[in-house]
Amino acid sequence: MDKLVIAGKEFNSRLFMGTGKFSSYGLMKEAIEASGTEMVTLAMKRVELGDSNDELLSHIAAPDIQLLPNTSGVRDAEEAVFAAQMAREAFGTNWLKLEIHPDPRYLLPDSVETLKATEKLVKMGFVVLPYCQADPTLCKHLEEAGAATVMPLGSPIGTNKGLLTKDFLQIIIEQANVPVVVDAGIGAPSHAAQAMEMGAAACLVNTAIAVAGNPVEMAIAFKEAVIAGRKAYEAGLGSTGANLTAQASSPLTGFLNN
Amino acid sequence: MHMKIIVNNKETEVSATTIPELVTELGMPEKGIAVALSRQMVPREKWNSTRLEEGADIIIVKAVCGG
Repeated sequence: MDKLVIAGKEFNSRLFMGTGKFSSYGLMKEAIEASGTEMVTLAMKRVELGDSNDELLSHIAAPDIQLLPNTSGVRDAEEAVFAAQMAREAFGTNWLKLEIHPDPRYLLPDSVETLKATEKLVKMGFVVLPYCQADPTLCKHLEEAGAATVMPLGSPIGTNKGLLTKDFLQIIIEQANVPVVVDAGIGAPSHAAQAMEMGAAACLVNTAIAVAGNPVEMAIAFKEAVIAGRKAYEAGLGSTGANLTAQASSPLTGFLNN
Repeated sequence: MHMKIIVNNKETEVSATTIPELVTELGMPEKGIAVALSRQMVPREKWNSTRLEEGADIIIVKAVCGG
């Protein structure tokens, strides 16, 4: 399998994992290890006096794992820049999952603010991986602004609905000169495999693993689906017939009577 | 000497006059956090030299789980 390279850094796994919604740090850690992921997303929140001091990073930080702090909770580009600076300080990395979704009901990314913030943050030296609409034109703009990847959504965050944006993702993948990471909405390993078969560079999965009956087994299922999908893409899928007529894969004559 | 400052939008009485003292006084971990004064991030190397004054507006964030 080809290695994934983002901003000059090599990744052995094409599955990125979010850390939200796990029932415990222990389970999250086990799922991360089982998934084989080398990129995990995290968030930030204001400290409350009297919060427990159980430090999250000690459960995740490993030399082969790239931490990818997000800017969840910001409403515009200005707030995103502030959050990015705080994240760089708190996490000790200039990698950033830029996400600006001012509307809490649908959590859909604000394209205008996301593009503005990408332009600013790239100039400030951040490695920016923007979560964005599955909009081919926007993705080209983000790429031109210096985004390290584009991360279009399959469907709204946490809905597990899969690749509702499939045809647009295909266009984005065809046009992109940066890795395309399908983020958000991937609810089953088959969705991840489908994205990878289409030529996505990676998938970012959180809810589908975290809330599974057995998150560790589900992490393994996603790991295998991403590998299978990528291998299929690299092997070259056969074309799909344009009509419903069958195409025999065995000889139809000359066996019983000659 | 106690003074009132704002920490994450809450008025708080502290005796700390620098950021490291404040972090210790509030019982926060040293790692995995970031501190801003008047909505400007204060880099760690400037924590010691940044003086906290009466009414200072501080934001402290920490790493949490997220997607």
